[in-house]
Amino acid sequence: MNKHSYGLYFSLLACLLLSLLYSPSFDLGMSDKAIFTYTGQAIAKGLVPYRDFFDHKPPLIFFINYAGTLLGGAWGLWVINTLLAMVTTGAFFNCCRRHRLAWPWLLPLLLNLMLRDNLISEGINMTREYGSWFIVLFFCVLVGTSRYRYFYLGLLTALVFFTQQDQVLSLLPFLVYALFTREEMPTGRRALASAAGFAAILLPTVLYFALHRSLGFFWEDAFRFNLTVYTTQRKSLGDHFRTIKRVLDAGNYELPFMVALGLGIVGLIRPNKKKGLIVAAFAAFLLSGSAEFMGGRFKGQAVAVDYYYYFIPLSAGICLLLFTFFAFPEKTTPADWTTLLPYTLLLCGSLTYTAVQHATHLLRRDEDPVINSAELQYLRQHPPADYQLYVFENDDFIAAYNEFRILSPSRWIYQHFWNWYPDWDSDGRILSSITEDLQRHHTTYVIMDPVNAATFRNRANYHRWMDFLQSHYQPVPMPGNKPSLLWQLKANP
Amino acid sequence: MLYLPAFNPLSGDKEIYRYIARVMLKGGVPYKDVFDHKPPLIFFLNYAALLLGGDWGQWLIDMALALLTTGLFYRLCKRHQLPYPWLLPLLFNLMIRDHLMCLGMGMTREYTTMFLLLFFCAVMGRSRYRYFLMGGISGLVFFMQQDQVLALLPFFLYAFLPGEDKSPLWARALRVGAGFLLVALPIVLYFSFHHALGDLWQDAFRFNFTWYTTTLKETTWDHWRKIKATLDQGNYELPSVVALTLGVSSVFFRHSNKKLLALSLVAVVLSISTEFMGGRDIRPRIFEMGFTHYFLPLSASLPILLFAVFAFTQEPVLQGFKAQGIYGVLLCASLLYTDIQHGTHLQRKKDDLTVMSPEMNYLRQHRPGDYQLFIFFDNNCIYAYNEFGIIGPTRWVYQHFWELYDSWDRDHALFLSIEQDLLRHRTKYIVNFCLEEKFFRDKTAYAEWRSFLSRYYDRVEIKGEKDAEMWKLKGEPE
Repeated sequence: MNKHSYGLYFSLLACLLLSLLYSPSFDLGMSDKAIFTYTGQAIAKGLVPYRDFFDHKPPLIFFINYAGTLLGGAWGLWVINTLLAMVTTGAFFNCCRRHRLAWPWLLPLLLNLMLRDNLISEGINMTREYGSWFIVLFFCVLVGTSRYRYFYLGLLTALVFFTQQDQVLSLLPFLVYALFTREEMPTGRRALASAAGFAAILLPTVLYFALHRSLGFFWEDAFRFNLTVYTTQRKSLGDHFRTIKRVLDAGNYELPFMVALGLGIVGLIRPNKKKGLIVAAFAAFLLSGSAEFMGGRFKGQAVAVDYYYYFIPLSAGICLLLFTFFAFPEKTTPADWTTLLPYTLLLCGSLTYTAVQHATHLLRRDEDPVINSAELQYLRQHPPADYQLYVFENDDFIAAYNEFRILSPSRWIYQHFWNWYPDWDSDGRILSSITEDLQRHHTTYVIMDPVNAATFRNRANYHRWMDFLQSHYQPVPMPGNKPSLLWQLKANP
Repeated sequence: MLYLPAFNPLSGDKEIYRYIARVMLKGGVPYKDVFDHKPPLIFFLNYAALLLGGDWGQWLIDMALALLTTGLFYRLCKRHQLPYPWLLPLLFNLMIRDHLMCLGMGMTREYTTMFLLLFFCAVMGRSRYRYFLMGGISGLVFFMQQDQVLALLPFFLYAFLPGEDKSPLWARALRVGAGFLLVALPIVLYFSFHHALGDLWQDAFRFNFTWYTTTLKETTWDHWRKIKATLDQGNYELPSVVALTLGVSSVFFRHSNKKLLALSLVAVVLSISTEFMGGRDIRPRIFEMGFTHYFLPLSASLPILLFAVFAFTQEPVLQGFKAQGIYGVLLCASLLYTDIQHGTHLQRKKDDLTVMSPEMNYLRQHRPGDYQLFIFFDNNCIYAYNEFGIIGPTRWVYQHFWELYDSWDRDHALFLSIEQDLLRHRTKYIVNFCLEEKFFRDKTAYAEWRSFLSRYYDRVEIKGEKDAEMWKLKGEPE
């Protein structure tokens, strides 16, 4: 083992330790992740995304969760996630070492600290987390020397696109740089190689859906829906700015962000042989926060909600910008330790503190209020089978499907569009399809959050649902006479 | 300008200082005629402000002091050939005027912060009266906010280090002593002349070392979390982290004045040592922010640390326009944003809830004279005395010790003295604020007060009242 390996082992160890903070016992529930886990399980039971269950995310996250299910469930998924993190960390470290950074472990460490920042990340296995790892891998390939690098660039672009579409935006500057910078290989050939890489992901995906006769659903739900229904709440530029400030501040991203912004601007101004790459990295850095301007698709709140995990891609954007600053200095020698020491403390100090705080105050998943709820305790004594439980208006309870390894009776596994959009399902057709599914399967239990349900934007739909529920189901009394979320099918509805 | 009188936020402490100045103007003597446990300089300063025209007078004094400090610090930075000699003075101003921390203009720690920076300029200066000035400024700090003397100590040590000055140690000490006496003597003479030296000693010194050291027992981690939360929410986080990072890093770098560097680092810690001594908030409010203005001295100690880093560094990565430019952006950007936000969202003092309260409107229609109004249990509302230009009927202008300490006034002697004062002056109005039993550590004191009110006063119902109760002396006409 030579001394250069110590840095690699340190980076990988940090990556592993930080990932361990989110091992299944401590990865707290969050509705999106519960939905993704459900989708993986549903695919394992033969269901087809979009056709048999609705979600509007691109399909890769479902396949990752499917692989996780095949590998043993929550731990399988954790292994996949940690492996991806370690591969990316190793590749990024290698990239930093090859470019003679004095401390090649610094930026991989920062990347891991940011991606595992519990104040931003909402745990692991979110689409934007995967997108961020892929973007760093993309960059490593871009500045690498592989003869297949354009093919890999295309492939990684497709991985990002089919995991979280809007994150492709922060790849674009690098893609433009890769295709149009002066090189021996003509631009046409580079584009062709990239297209081939993209097709390596696209084709199996399209073939899968074509084979299952659900290409139409795929198009409608994963693409068209996002461009039509999934519109954003209007916020002024000032409100966006305040959100960004609040999130960076509260999530402890403020210092790395400010340092990267400051150094990035200096990088743009000073003379440099790799100016194109620095410009691309700066643009990518800015675009990695663009979800704030496109997302937050929550209509109907008096004050717009801050979506913290929309800022997770900044972890890649910041690290890559810093890499270009440190790796391509105006002088011939790269930054030495005297330059890096203050920046290391500034970049990693606050985030290390956050990670240590998180590690020393870990919350167990089984202490989660939903996992511990009286409703789930009851169901554990009366475990429902496939189609015998329906979760309505509380995405966190989707964890129940996963715990009992059952399928939902309806394709509409989550329902918050009824709370968000006044025009959504205005004729009540989708809602009727849900009640028909419940009747068809004689679904025994319904978990409903009455507070969320009461915020249906279309009151006719709300009354339609409540009439159905009250005529077919009755509340199951809970210990301590607490208001029950659990309803049971009446003997004679 | 963001703290012009019309926009300077109302805060209990400042109202008390102004009130005591008014008592002095009307012939009273601090401590003897009105209780406070702050050292006397803040009262004299407010007295001078009243003579100069009240709020505007105070603003002028404050601004002149800030300009003087800024100018001298700028001159020091320029003399040491910093690439941006305006950067650290700018940082100082951005920090000391950070509305998330400072509670407006006129707090004691604001003045001692300026004095700390002036003291440092004197230490680093070439004046032949250097030690005399140091003594004078430390006198000003000591008689303004005692605990802030701690932050001066490292620089005292620096000035007395061998090789710093050719004159003998005793001569330097004598000059410092003379400077200190220049401030101390007139103060002692004033109180002695007014037969109030005992009161000065009891209230401004002994009280602070006995009662006022009772603080909530917090672990080091609790303090740490509080510091973190306060720096974070007050937007001091970036300058603090950047300055400390550069300071600590410079210890390992080539640097031509490591003594000053080390002592500046110590001064940063000492400048917020109040967090560990003060904040005598004995209700359990850990994990929340501390007293934000306790962190105001950082606005001097951090620029001083940065000066020590930049002026004597021998590392190219910390020298020059580019290096210091990057750190300058990191240091000032967030604070600049805060100040712009503040500047574009100024709140007028007349819109303050206290100023607009129904009780104040009632009193404006029934204007009380001297001794005819007593404000109970809300320091902010001491503002009422100042608006009407009157003095209260009792020496106890604020009463939160009954809320803080279990054994405070156990025999109710002080409490009864307040009641006697009210009866003696036939005080017409009493305004009770947020008065609930739970706020009294000694429940019998609360019962005594309630009983006193119902015996001698009638409740006046005021439309729109929320947290306050207006009481009027029985048998008194409107």
